[in-house]
Amino acid sequence: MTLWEYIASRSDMLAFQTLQHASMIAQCVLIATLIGVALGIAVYRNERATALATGTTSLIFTIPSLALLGLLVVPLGLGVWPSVTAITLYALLPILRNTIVGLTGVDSSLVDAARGIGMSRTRVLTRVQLPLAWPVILSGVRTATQLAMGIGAIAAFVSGPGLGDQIFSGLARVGAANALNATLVGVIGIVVLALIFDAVLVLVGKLTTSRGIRIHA
Amino acid sequence: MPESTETPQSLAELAADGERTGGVPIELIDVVKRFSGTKGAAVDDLTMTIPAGEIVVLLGPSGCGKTTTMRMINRLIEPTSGRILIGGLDARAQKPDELRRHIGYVIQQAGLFPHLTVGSNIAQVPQMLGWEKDRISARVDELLELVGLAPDEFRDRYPRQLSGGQQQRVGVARALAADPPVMLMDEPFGALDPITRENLQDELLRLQDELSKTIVFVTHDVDEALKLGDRIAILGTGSKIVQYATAEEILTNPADSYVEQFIGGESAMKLLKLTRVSDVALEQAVRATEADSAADVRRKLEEAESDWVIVLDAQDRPLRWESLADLEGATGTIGDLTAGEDDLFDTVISGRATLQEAVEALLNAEAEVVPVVGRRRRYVGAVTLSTVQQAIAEIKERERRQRKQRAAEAQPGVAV
Repeated sequence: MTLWEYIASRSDMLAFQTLQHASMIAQCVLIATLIGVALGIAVYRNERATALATGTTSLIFTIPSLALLGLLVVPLGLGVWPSVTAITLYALLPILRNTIVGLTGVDSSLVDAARGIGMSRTRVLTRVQLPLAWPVILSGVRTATQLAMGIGAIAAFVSGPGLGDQIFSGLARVGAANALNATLVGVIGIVVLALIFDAVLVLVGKLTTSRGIRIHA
Repeated sequence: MPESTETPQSLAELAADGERTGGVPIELIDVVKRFSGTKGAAVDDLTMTIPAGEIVVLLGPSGCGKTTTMRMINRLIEPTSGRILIGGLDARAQKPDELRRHIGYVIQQAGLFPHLTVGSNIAQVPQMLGWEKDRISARVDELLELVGLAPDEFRDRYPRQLSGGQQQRVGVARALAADPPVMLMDEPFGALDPITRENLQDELLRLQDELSKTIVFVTHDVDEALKLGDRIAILGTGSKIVQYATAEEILTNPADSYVEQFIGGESAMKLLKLTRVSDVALEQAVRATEADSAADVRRKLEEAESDWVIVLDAQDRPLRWESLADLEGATGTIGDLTAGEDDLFDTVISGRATLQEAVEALLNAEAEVVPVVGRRRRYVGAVTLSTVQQAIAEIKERERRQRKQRAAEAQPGVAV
């Protein structure tokens, strides 16, 4: 059976797994973005809180994904929950770090000007700081998405949803019929998804970043 | 708005009272600011009154607390103790954000938001005040016009597409958006090249002529302070006022060696820059027109004991000089004298020029005397090097007299 025949023979299931994978990653990254940006806003003005937050997320980052998934099975059982939790935790670090970098990188004289003309703290944040930090935050989201794609594949280890299933079942039956095909489909599928996600995020960046900060006079 | 008998409770109400808001006075009373972790006070018991509608420059070396002083007025920094009254109202009794919307704020390099268009930058304060869209866009265009930028061309540009000078013009427009009675300017022209800086300084003076805001202007540039300030407060460490006076008085009568050192030498040169030609006594030459008879003019010259006559056209605009020697033996009219001669004036100076410019014109024109013109190039007098010399001497003499008078008033009952 060639790769094409393999794909054709179970296109329904592959399409479903691809969609599952995409949807899982999208949701995890979304949750990680919400938490990461909120956390970043909460800590960026305080050096100690910043160190604590980035330290903690870095610590999570150093745990091998397979080990973290295994550990999460104990409280959360098998399936979707440990997968989603692990992916979200990993995606958190680049988003949090870039949010902090982005917000502290906003020219302090602009914040001063904003305060000086009578903007409240919240307004300064939403009208000035976040729009200016946005390109940096978004690049964090892109990194996080790529990371989540790969870790999403390993989620099959704890019976998580997605294309990881193809890879793991292929690897488990090395030498058997279609083992290579299954692994290849899983890997290629994830790579293609990653490229599509990245393209979408680049487009989102173009659409949501003010032309004023893309100009470099 | 009907005449309200209630006194306004906030700067917002004060600003909303009139059609166009002129300045209001600012009083700082026993103001102290101590930052935690530092030994001395950044601002040590400062009391000063900034009169309505004047430009008051806070001048001092970096670290003397002048910026801190200014930032306490709009409560970006809260004083440790003391009171600040703006238009008679206690700044502390008002919400800081609302207070700031009615105090224009201009900082170095303008501080424009790069992700917003020029129009949107200017619209920020009116938006916060909840103005209607039409009113905001009309105001934006009006302000762009006011600061000398064509609205159609600049409204939709982004700050990074503008030069430094244009950005600062927008910065000033943004500060003026809600027509605040008070403007705070923190070294606004410090980062600009000298030519742009001079232009914007002139522009600010022109605007101030029109708007009469109370402007607190922080700088460490002595020339800028002398040029812009109706009054200048020279500050020492801890924002201590060393001298608070007009530019003229500071130059002619520095309070102590610190001030002298700070404004540097060449105070006479600085006075030249400060004094306008129209403010000094000009030479009055004998006048003549083309139609006058040469004999009559010669008689007038002899009466005035003068060697030179200025020839004016029908609109009183200066044409050229004629000397007594030229008139000797001439018959007919003055107009007959000059057939073919091209000694028309290419150098005249405006009454609005400074004495420094006048001296420059005198040196460049290779003439001992240069005519001064007023509106529509109408002749008003002439200036020579000795006119300038005398003017400076008179200013110094006047200041000396005033000083003596003040000293006498300060010690009543003491016989001199």
